[in-house]
Amino acid sequence: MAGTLLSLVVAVAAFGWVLAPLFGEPTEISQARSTDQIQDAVDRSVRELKTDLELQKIQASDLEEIQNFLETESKR
Amino acid sequence: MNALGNYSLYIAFGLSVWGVASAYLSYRNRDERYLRSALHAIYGICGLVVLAIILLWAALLRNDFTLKYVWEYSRTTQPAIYKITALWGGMDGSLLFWCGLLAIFSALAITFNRKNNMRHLPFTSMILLMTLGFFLFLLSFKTNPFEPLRDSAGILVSTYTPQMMQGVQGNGLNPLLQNFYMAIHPPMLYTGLVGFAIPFAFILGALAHRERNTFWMRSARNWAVFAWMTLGVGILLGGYWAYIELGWGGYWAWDPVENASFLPWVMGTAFLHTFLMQEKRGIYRFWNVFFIVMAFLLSIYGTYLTRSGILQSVHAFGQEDPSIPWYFQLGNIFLLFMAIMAIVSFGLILRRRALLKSGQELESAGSRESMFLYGSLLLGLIGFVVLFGLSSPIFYRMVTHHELNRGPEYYNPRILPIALMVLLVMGIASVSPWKKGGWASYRKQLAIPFVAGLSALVASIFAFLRGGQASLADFHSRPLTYIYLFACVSFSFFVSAIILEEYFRTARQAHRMGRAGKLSCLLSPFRENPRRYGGYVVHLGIVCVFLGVAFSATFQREYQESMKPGDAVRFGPYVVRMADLEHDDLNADLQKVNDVRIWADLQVFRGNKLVALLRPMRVFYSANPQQPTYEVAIHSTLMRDFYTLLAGFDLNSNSATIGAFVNPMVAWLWLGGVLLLVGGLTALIPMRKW
Repeated sequence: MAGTLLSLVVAVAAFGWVLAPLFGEPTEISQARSTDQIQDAVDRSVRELKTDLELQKIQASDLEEIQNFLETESKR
Repeated sequence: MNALGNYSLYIAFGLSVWGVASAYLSYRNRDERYLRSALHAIYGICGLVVLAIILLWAALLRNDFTLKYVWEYSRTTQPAIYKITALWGGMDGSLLFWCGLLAIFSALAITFNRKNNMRHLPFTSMILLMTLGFFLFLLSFKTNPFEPLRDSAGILVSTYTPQMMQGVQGNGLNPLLQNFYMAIHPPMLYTGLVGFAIPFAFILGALAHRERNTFWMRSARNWAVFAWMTLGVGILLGGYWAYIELGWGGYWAWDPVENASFLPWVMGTAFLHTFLMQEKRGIYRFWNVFFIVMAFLLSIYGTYLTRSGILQSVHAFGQEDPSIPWYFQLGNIFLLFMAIMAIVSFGLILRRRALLKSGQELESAGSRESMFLYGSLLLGLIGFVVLFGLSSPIFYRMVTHHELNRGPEYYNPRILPIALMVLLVMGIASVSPWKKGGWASYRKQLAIPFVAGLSALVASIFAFLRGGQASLADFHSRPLTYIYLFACVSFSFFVSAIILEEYFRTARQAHRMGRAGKLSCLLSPFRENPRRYGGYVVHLGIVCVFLGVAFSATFQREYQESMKPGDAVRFGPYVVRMADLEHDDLNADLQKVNDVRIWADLQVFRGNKLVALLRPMRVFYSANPQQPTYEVAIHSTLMRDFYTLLAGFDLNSNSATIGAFVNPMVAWLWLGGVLLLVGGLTALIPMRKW
């Protein structure tokens, strides 16, 4: 009996907490991107490619092309 | 408290139903209130399922036999560790554990992405909540681990008086599962299988929200690496358990359940490689989505195969009661969920096909980009060969009502040549040049590895020929096995040389550019580029696995001799002397002890030198004394394992049958597993700034 009562309390608390945000003001979901995160990802890719440049696995012109692509992609 | 555990699953199911609706409304209306409500549902489910797990553990530990699950999988004499592992020893508990891991991972994933990937979360959380809802439906209405136990007259055991409960022992965990590696193998395996749900949900979320930019994928990639690594280690741990517990001298038998865990791993491997290309070049968008969808669907398929009773396997969880209506049979509920997820996934791929077009063309068939695609497609091909081998007996039985067994004779000739090609491509891709490629670059980078591979081939052929007529006769009896072995040795040296050469070149370059000192430059590749060099450590681990499999499968030798204390017998390169045959008190009351053991004390000599003292044993568990388990004893070195077991015994004549296997290089498999773990963890380390 105690377990059933406790379960009832848990159920009310859980649904109360889940439904609580619906009573606030409507707001649109942020469509913003983290520019820091994107720049970090671009930097990381470029650095890996620079290692390949040192190891002669990519030509300088190709690296530049890929870098430009990554910069463009990051602004989409 | 069992009522609380039971109701917490129902409440969690209710939250998941609301959560799916709320996530869908937030996707349609872009209203953050609904999204927040859906995210709260995920956190709430996480808390409730973790509570249910804790309550079930508590019931197992205190031998609460009013629960059917506790009675079936625990026993008063069972050690506490196996009462804890009983959580995943049966179907209901293992599904609860599956659901608990998914709920925890979902809560962590949305917490870490709430700030940066908020715009994807409506669809992502909807997928996660649908998956959680499916498992919670099963747990609430189909496989509830809190189901009360009834006696044969249908009376609830919870209504018994304490006097009536006296002497109730419980059925107990399957003796084969009372092994330390069963305490860690399933959690690792489940972590991997469940982990693929997170990148799957994130990638579908991004696709649904028309995301072109690929940089958000890093978080999905980290989850995929984590899932892939734990699943890989889990599979190897399962192989180790089979090796030491089943007493057959092997570790992999293409068992359907083994295959079912291998399938998502192989698709995850392909995903991790095509992902690298999407990140840098914006290509293979379709393949990325395809491979991660397959990894997720196949992880569910594997769970379905183990639990529906459709397969007969040492790992399966048993048969479904045929009197249950078809629409409520576990297997059919799984199939319905898989069908829904497949329709959602492939429907989305079709609707967003324009987004999945590569922005760039491949410029050379020999470029790095092409090599990564070849490798991934070969992995995909392995996946489909295994999937066909796994599924065709099921369809065959449905149509003909006859059994069709798919064993090594189906898998080996199909998988081995493709796997060797993967090994070769794995090496070549590491040195392949970006974009336009150019064979001149290959010539320069492959010269030393080519010499290494060729030398290994010549050396292995010479070593083989030293065996004389016996070797040649063996070659004539199974030529393909030897051809695969020589290719494997040669390719392994080739790949290892490529990795080591590149590692030392990178370290030298870091020193030359002044980024590291003479000694510290040895660590600089891992500090400057942990993802790539972590990946190379994994590749070395894969090479170790290939060598271990190739040598142990080709040169395993089996022996069996009847012995008495004092006898000495030769088993291949070893001489074994049985010092004693002993046992526990065989009259012990199995109601009071967990097990009774019989063992042989063996002295193992190589030449005249004592190299090991081994104690293989048979253990009679009170849970099932009719099926004694093997506890093998192994003298393990990098070159070979000397594997012994107590195959039989006669206590009246004080004699025993000792079985033995000489298994070359099996330790390399486990070494490969360690490297896979180390490399995977390294690849998860954030990159350090130069």
